[in-house]
Amino acid sequence: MKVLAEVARELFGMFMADARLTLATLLLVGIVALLSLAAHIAPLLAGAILLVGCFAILIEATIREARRRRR
Amino acid sequence: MDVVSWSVAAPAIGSAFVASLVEVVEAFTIVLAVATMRGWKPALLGAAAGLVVLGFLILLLGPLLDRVPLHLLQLVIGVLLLLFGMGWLRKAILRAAGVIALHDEAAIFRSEQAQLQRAGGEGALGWVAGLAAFKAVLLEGLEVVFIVIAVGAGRGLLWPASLGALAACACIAAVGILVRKPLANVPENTLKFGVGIMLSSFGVFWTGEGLGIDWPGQDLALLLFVALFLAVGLVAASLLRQPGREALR
Repeated sequence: MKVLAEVARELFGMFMADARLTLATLLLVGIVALLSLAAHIAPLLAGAILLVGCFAILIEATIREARRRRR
Repeated sequence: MDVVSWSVAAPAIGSAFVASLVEVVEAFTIVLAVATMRGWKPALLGAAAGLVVLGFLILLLGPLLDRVPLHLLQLVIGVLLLLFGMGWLRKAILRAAGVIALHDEAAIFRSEQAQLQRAGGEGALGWVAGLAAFKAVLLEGLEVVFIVIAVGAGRGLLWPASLGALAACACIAAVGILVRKPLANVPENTLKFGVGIMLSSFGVFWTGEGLGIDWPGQDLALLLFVALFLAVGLVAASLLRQPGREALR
């Protein structure tokens, strides 16, 4: 059982190393899905929002962690 | 196996190879620590047991992938890839900037040895050692399986991705057997930086495809994503780096 728990923890950790990054990414995908499937915006615009959103999330996550560790 | 063009298969093989390399080095380091402390028998038995369990999981879950609608599979795997890739890239940027310490295989090796020394009586040691090797192979192997599925599923590239992962295993096993030391000289953060970029790029590509976005240039759009993620990663690392801190290794 201990091994199974460790496996589950490891798998969970693969995707949840930074909870805010994970949540922000899921939120971004949700927004792009809504814009794309419900609001029918141009597919290329939806793609651009997804890509630029990922960059913004990544930069924010690294800056936030760097500040936290240097405090 | 369907015939796929080299230009489509090569990125999948390369991504799976490099990403798996990192995981296999970690598993090998622990198996080697076990072998050094308690001999090759418990190390190899534990590693073999881990591989058998992994094999069963792949046989059990592999056929299910074919039953899932393609767009849904692309979306789910795209999102998982994004989460996985951006997580790796975030850590790699922070390590490259010197904000967090580099992953040290030699330190992992010493820590695993110390744990084995502390654990149980003489009779229990073989078990504990075998279990340590089993866990290492199972946990890191699961990550390799995920990488293969993430890189290969939904595009008919499971075989090329598996080939990349197997090549990584063979490569590390060969090097490991030759040097018989923790592979501390593998520039792990550079690999992780590259893998984070590749996985994030695949993640954006597939999430988009899953949402019905036709990327201009089809698969060639991946190259643009790779270049952009690389630029963002390097700029972020350079902005966060403080003078005197350790640089990208």
